[in-house]
Amino acid sequence: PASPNFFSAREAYYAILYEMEDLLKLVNRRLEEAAVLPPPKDIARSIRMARPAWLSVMEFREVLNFRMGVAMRKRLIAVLDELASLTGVAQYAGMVDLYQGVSARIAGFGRLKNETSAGSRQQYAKLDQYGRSYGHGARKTSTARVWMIATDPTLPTARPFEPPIPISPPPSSGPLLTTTILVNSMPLATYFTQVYDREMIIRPLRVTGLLGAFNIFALVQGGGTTGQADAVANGLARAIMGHAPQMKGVLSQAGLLHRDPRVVERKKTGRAKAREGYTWVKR
Amino acid sequence: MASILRHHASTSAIRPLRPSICSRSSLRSRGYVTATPTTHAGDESHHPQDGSLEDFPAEPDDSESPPPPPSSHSLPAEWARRVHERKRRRNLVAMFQDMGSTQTRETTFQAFHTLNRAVSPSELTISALMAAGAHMGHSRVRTRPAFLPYVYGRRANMDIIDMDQTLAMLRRAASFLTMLTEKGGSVLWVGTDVDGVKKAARKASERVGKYSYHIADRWIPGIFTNAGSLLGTEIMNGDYLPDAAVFLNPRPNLGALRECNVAMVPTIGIVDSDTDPRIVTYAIPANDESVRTVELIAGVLSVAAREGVRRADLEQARAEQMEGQMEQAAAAMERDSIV
Repeated sequence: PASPNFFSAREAYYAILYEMEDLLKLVNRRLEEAAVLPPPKDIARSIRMARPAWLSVMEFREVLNFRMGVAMRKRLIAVLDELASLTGVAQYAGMVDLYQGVSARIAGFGRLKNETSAGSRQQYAKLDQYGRSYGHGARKTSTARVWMIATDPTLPTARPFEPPIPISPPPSSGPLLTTTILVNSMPLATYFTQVYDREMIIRPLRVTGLLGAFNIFALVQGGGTTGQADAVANGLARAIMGHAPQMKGVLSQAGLLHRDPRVVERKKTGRAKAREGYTWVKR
Repeated sequence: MASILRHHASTSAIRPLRPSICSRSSLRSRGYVTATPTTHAGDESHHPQDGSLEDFPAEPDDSESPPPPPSSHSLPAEWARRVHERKRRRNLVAMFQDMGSTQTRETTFQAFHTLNRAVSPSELTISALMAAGAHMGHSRVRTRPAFLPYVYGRRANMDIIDMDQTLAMLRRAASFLTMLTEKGGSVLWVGTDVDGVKKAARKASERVGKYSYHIADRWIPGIFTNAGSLLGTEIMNGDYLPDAAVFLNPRPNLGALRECNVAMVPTIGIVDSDTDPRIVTYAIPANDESVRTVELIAGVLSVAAREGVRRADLEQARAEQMEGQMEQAAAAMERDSIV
């Protein structure tokens, strides 16, 4: 057998891993001798934020053509992350040859972007052929499906899209735009008679300042009034992310993207209810 | 066992006068390029050093070559200031290096020396073994009865391993490896669980080079006995098993040792006092929990195996030369006979 890693039964993986580790040592040495390490904090931060998205486990399996485990990928990604950050340092320091050489080598494992990706890994729903976004929300035993469409596609709040099917332009509604909300094909005020529930549902739009920018259609089932209202609010927040992903910070800070995990606690044996005990008897 | 308690002297180093990490001579000897030191402390001009080209070879130390042209992407001011300050300090240190202590980073013991600077079996001393902590066994409660012949005594409720026997057995294992590789045998180095042990296994394998394999991380069960399904059926046709396996920590790899026995592969292993030395063919009683000991022993064994490879290459070169000469002589004889 030719390869020194033959008996590990993972030749291809170790070949790549060791190559990357040796490359890392080399790049480290070059940067140390140029005295550019460590870089100032703000530059280090911007380099760290520009971390590229590496291949997933499935994609690695296709590339390397054998079964790679999650822990194996994690180890390789740790080395690649370190390499990417050092490559960023080399780029900022003007060491062009080193930067280009190493980027070329690690480019095969992911996309090396210069713009900040800022941890936005979640794939937000695309708009469909009519320009609608979709979000799913839940609370207690209620589930909601929420669709959102821009009231005026020319507004900047609406994400631009190319409709494959031509749509007739919406009727111009004048200077004041209003949001129409239909829940289970009923107007909002009819379905949710309590003001508190209606306010819960509109809260994502208020917090992001998008009242009037979108029309909403929701289908909700299961649970009771409050559960359904919160489910719609949760789904609405996620649908907003489809149109305006930059609202993520605002929405998550308001807790609107978080699916409340609280459910009714089960009754236990020896107790009247989940927590309530029976009347204590002295004898 | 000779009462050598001076082992501390080889490890404790008097701190050098100045850190010698970046001494000019040391950097140059390692193939790095250093900026030419200037007599002025405040040197304003510096050029960011570009990395080299396709294969990233170490740049030759030609400080006489013209500096690379300043790149268009210049450093931000704060960073440039720091880089300049670091270089200035390095130059200052390099200037005064030769006037300082003769004990420098090069001449004193460093932690990575046991891994990178391996000794040959004949050069290894008991003091070196003790300095690495090879003599430290476990408490008597944990000591296996079969290991007792290798215990020298007890100190602070810990069993001390007899270094005389260890050295002899290590040399025996080393000579076995030399003979093996001289005859063209292959060696498998196994080091698992601990980072230092894994590195030692890989380094040992790389040191031997030809026909040397290593397993770091994990021994996949069945790699010898079920090789057809794990490594592919095509290798079953040939002779794929290694001719010896060196276990740098046999205790967590008992399944692997069992596989070696089934496959009839002789094993060498570093056995600690809590391990039965009969599980391996050539036991080396030493402390397997100390990374330095493992590095030291792996280094010794790999140097011995490399020596065998060297002898085999030498023998082959000589044989080819003889063959060439004999062919020439035969051709000459034929010419003479024809004439």
